[in-house]
Amino acid sequence: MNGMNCYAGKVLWVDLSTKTVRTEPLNEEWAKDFIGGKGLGFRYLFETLPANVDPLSPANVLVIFSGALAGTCVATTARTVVCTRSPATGTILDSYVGGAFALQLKLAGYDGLILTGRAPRPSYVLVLDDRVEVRDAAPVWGKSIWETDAWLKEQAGDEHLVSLVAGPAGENLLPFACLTSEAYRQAGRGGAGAVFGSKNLKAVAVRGTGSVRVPDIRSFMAMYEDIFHNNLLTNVNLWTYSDGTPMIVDLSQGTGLLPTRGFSQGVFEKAEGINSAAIQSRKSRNRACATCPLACGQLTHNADGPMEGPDYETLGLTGSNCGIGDLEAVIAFNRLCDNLGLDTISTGNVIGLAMLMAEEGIHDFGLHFGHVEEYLGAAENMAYLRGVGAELAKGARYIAQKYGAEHLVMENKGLEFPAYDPRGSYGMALAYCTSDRGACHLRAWTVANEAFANKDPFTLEGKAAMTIEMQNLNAVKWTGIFCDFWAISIEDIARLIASGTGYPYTEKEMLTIGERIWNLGRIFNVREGFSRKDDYPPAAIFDRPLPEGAAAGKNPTREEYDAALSEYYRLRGWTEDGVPTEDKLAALGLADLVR
Amino acid sequence: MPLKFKNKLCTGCHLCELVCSAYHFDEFAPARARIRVSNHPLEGQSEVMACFSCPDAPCMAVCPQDAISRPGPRQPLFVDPARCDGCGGHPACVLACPYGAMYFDARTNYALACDLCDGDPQCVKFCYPGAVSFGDGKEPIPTSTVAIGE
Repeated sequence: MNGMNCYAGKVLWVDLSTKTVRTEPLNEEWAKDFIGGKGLGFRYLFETLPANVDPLSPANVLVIFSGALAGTCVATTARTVVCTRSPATGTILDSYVGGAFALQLKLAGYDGLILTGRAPRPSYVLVLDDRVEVRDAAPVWGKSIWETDAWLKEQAGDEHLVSLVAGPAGENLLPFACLTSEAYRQAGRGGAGAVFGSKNLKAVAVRGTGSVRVPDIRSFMAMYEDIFHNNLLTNVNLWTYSDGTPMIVDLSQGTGLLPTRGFSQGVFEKAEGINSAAIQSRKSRNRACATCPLACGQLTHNADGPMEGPDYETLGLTGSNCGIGDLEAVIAFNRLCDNLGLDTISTGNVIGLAMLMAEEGIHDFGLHFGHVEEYLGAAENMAYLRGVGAELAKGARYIAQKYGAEHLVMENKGLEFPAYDPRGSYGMALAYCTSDRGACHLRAWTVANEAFANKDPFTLEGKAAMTIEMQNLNAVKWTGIFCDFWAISIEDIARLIASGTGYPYTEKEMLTIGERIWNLGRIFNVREGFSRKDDYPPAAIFDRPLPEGAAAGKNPTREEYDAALSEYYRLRGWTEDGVPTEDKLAALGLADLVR
Repeated sequence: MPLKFKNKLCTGCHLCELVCSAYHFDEFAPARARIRVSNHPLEGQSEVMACFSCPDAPCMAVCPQDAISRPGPRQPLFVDPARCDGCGGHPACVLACPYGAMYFDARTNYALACDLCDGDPQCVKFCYPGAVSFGDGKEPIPTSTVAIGE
C-alpha cells in the first residue's frame, strides 16, 4: 500500500495458542476485489479456515475486519465485522457491530485482526497501537460484560479503550452468544461470543492514536459535505434520529407480521406497551456509533437505570413473542441479555417457543406467556446453564427436535427467525432461507418493498430477483462498512470508496463485487455440505396460517416456494441444487477457490 | 465568537474530532483534534469540549514561552508555533486549563487550541444534533435541504 489511501495496509495475526503476534501487509489484490468488511473478512476466512472444522474447536478462526472507509469521517463506516464459522449454523458467519471498535483498530494501524488457536487459559488481547499483547483475563472470567469492560479500561488506564467482550453466555458456549461493545452494541447473531469462549478469549480491546488518510482530502471532504447534507440528513434516513427502529412495531402490527406468542399470532393486543410511542415516553437523548449523525440509539431507562434501546428486534422477540407488553420488563430483559452476552433475537425465539410448547401441552419448561418473573429468570439460567436453562441454551431447533415441536419452531439452518413473520410478507421466507448465515433479515429486507410498502406481500412472484438484488447491494454496502439505516445509493458508495481507496470503482463494478462476495459465501457453505435441502423454511410457514390481523389465513404453498427457490438459483447462475456453476465462478474470478 | 457546547445533545459520535483533524492536518486523526469527546456508553453520557477562549485563560499566564495570545475580546486564542516548544512533552497550558480544553499534538510537539477554522468551524457544520454551536444564538444545526419522498 502507498500509505496514501484509506487502508492501514496491515493485518494483525494473533495465535492464541502460542501468544505469537505478527503483522502482514494487507493483500492488495484482495483489497481491490473485495474492498473491506464483509468482502475481505470472507476472503481471509476462506483462505485461513479449512473445511469441516468444528466451530468450537481451536482450529476455527476469527477474522475481525474494519470496512475500507473506517477511520474516515464517512457516516456509519466505523462498524466492525466478525467472521468465523458459526457454532449456531455451521455456515459462514459475518456478524456486525456498531460503535467505535473499527475506528480504533484502524487508528492503531490495522485493517483487520485474525485470531487463531486457543489460549491455554482465560485471556484477552490488548492492542495499543503497535503494542499487542495476549494478557491474563482470569480476574474477569465468569464476570459480566459491563464489569469486564470497566476492568479493561482500568487496566489500560484509558477511558477511550474500545472492546469486544464475550459474556458468561460466550464462556459457556451458547450457540447464540453475542459480543458486546460499548455496553449496548452487539455482534449479535450466529454465536461469535461462543467462538471467543471456545478460545478462552474474553475480549479484544483496542486503542489507536494514529491517523487515516485518503488520496485527496480536499476533494474527499467536498464530496462528503455534499452527500452529508443532501443524501444523508434527509427524511429517508432521519427516522433513525427521531424514532429509531421501535417505529417498526406499529408497521409490523399493522401488517399482521409482528411475532407474537411464539409466532402463533401476528398481532399483539398489548403492542402499545412496547411501540415507538412507549419508547419515546422514556427517551432522554440520542446515542450514536462513531461518525454517525443518524444517532439511532434511543436512550431510555427503567427502574434499574439507563439503557440504549430496546430496538425493534428485541421489542418483537423478547416482547410480543413472549407475550410481554410491559416495557419496564422488556428493558430489564434487554439489559440482562446485553450484560450476559445473549443475542436477544435468538433468546426471544427460544423462550417464546418454550412458552408455546407449554401452552400446547408439549413440554413445560416453567415458562409461560406474559409471566415476567419466569422470563427474567430464564436469561440468567440460560447464560449460566442452570436448570432448564441448560437445555434452552442449545437453541430453538434443539428443543423442537427433542420434544417434538418441529411443527412450531421458526428457524433456518439453526438460526432463529428475526421479527418479521414471513407469512405476512412472503419474500422474507426466501430472504431468510437463502441468507448466507441462516435466518437473517439484513441480507434482504424484502418486507420494506412488500408488506411495509403495501405491495403484493402474499406472493413469491418476483421475490427471487428482489432478494438477489438486495443481497448483492448489501454485500457491497458492508465492505464500507455502511449501516443498513443509511439508504445510500450504489452510486454514492462507489464514489466514496473510490475516493477513499484511490481505486476507480464504477457502480457496475461495485455490483459485481457484491455478487462475488455473495458467491464466495455460498461456496464456503457448499464446502460445508449445505445445499438446496437446507434452503427451506420450517413447516409452520406452510401449514399454520396466522389466526388474525392483516395476514390472517395466509400461507405460501410448498410448490410456490419450490418454484421461487429454483428461480433464485437460476438467476444466481447456480445449479438446481444451489451450487454456483463453474461459469459463474469463473466470471466472478472465484474459479480457483473451488479447485 | 467562541463555540458553545450542549453535552446533553452530544451523541458521542466523534465526528467533530475527525473533521477537525481533516481540516487542520489533512488526515483523520482524533488524537490531533482541537475538539474532543469523552464517552460513557453505559450511562449514555458524553461530553464535548474545545477551547472557547475563556476570559481568564490561565494557559496564557503559565506558558513559559509566552506563545499564547488573544487578538481581541472573545477571539480565539492563538498558539504561536514559532514559540510553542511543547514544554518537553508536558505542556503547562494543557495542565493549567480548568476545562480540559487545551490539547497537545505529539506529532508536531505543539499545543492545540480551537481556532474556529478561519471563521467556519467544521465541527459545527457536521454536528447535526447541535451539541456544538457557533454564533449569536441562531440555530447552527445543519438540516436537510432536500426532502426525498418515500
